[in-house]
Amino acid sequence: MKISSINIIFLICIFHLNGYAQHQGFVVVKDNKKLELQLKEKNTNHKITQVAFKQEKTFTFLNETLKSEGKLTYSSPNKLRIEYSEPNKYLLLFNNDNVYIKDEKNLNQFPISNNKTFKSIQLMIIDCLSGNLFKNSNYSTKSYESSTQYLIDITPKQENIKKIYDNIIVKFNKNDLTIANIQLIERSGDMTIMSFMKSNLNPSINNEIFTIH
Amino acid sequence: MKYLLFINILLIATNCGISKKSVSTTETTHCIIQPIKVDSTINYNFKFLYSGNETNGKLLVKKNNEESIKGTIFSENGITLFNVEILQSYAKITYAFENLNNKYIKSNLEEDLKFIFSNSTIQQNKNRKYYISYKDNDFNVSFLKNSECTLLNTITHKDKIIFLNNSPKEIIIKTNVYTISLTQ
Repeated sequence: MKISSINIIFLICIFHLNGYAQHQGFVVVKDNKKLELQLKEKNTNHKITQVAFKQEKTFTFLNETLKSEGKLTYSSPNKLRIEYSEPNKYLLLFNNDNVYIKDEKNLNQFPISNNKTFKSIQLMIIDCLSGNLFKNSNYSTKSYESSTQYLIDITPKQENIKKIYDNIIVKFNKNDLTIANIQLIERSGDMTIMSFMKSNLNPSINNEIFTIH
Repeated sequence: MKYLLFINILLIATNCGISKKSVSTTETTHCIIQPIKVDSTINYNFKFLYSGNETNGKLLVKKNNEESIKGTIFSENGITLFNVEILQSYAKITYAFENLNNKYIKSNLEEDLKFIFSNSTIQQNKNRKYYISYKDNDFNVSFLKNSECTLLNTITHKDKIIFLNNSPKEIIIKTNVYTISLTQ
């Protein structure tokens, strides 16, 4: 069958439109190396990030969205505190090798090595926050940009993360490379969006916030 | 003597008959419990213990239409574990997280969720050990079945439990496959 040039142009247009619709308002980053270097530099300079966030978890099957909000604190290299304040108080704490989960009634603590999924999710969130996404064997990435933001579309390569997420989309503000939002798109079709407010970079914090007594 | 022997045989035969009838009655025993009424979205904390691993999360249940309700179970790190649709006559898990996508878990979970939210009787299943308890402000009721499906304690045949606020504060289901704890 002869493929006419009109057909080829039509196919190119379809692929182009598909890419456009996927990340509307964004185009492929021209200088990926520059973005990598900028994120690496930011990572070196900003050891601690504290940021308020709003989260929406959409359950496609229930046609329901759960909204929550809280504060996230990340201390390089591997301490992470996600503290939900609304609608319920709930604390998720990753400190080196331990995970602490505290709600209004209970405290649960276990070594992170006991739960590979938790470990992978912790690393993935930390990589997203820090922008350590390039040349990382755990992901393949595609970078896009708009006038105000960078968008990195991440496809997980690790088996236990691939089981959970189809892809993860992270947006960084162009002006200071702080994180704008993370979209976690699950294989179930459900999606979690964490939208971050203005980041507080290198605030003075008490390291005690990463432990629970 | 001949008559005595005949009477003995007759008595043994009658006893066997009674014994058999008794087992049969036990097997058809049902504990009647009011299914949880889902008018608005119900939110339970969910704890799932399977094969030595504990998973914590939430169960969200919502009325879909007059005939069915839908539920989603998700873990504390926000990952959807199960989607289930429950009708009067059956429950169907439409999505299961890969690590839990096991025929045995799914069929048991379908049966338990149907029991809690739709059907008011426990299905007899000789291969399954079963314990279920409901706790609320006004009552704490539990019953236990062994592998022979004998009702062992607490509520008796045809007792009826009605939840004052539509849904009890705590439900615990222990089977030989897993343990589920639902708390509000």
